[in-house]
Amino acid sequence: MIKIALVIFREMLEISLILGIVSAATRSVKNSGVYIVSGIMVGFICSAILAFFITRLSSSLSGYGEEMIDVAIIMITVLVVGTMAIWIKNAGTKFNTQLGELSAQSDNSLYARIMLVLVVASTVFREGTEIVLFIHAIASAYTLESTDYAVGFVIGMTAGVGAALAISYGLTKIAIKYLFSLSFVLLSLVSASLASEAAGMLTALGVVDILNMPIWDSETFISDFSLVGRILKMLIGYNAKPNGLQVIFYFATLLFIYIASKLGAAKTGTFKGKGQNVKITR
Amino acid sequence: MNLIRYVYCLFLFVQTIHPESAYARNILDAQDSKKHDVVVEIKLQNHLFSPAEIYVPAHKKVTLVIHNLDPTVEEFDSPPLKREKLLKSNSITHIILAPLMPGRYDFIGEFYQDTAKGAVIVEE
Repeated sequence: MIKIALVIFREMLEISLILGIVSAATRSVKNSGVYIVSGIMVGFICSAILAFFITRLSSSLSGYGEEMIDVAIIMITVLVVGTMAIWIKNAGTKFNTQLGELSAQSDNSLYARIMLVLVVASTVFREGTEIVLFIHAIASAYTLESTDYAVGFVIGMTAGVGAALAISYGLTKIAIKYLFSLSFVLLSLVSASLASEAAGMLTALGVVDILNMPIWDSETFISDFSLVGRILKMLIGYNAKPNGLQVIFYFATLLFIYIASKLGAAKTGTFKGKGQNVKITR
Repeated sequence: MNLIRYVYCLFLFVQTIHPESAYARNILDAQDSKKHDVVVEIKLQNHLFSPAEIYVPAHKKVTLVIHNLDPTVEEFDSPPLKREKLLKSNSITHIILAPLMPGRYDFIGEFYQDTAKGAVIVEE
């Protein structure tokens, strides 16, 4: 039972991290909870569908099919999480410039709402298939002790949701000024680490066979399998032996998000100017 | 529709002139994997990999054929090999590894990592 709970919790952690950050940073979006829950449901349904297809495939083929689906899902998540990071950065800038005047106004843009659903759905989808298959296999394998597994599952899920709430609550406790910047940095790092993971898979499969030599080896300091290594992997995409392509994907993603957020900030700057004009005319 | 047809023709054309393209390679692998691949059969039973240590030659493509005999699903997870793949219950999973440098590459079964441990050892 505890084992099941641990597996579920471990699989949930990455979802919890992103959910926690996103829910803290999007409090300005009206009814953000509704969109987060819809996102979770969309992600879960997609996971269940993919899990169904995976179980239907008699035995996995010797090709790269499954892995390429994985890479595609990861790249979509990179895109969505990256976009979210940029949006949060801009929302933060907007929020700071209007503080004291329009702070109570909620963000009702359709864009923000759609993105909120997408980012949650893609995050849940990425890890959800594994959870669904794990539960499915257990449910069908041990029918007699099913209550034991159900309890384990509920404990694991509750702990996962608890972690998300704790992260969200912890983030709201810090000053608003830093909340957006911190969320931006964390989501950018998650995005970059996912991009490097995709690059790693492509080289490991042999689909890409350039830049596949390890750049450094820090295995003796922090092993990939150690707890520290795992936490660092989740937060900043730590890898003990990253290859050239992974490092390039990682920093290219960071650079791209940074530049895009600067371009967005420039736009928000003009918005700020307008706001001040309005204030003067009043 | 024409566009789709055009893209598909282009796709076929690229394959014929460039047999080393990823897709063509993929088909080749499926057809005569034994010719140029090192194939290793691994059994997963009671959450234990056997053999737990697999010796393979360096600079050669390796296919791990994992027979999961357990009634539970498992996830083959290896940061050193940069791979994560689900091993369905009571089924066979192929994991293709691009040519590797000599060294030790640990892997685990993520769902039962207390017992499900193994390593690919690449030798010159």
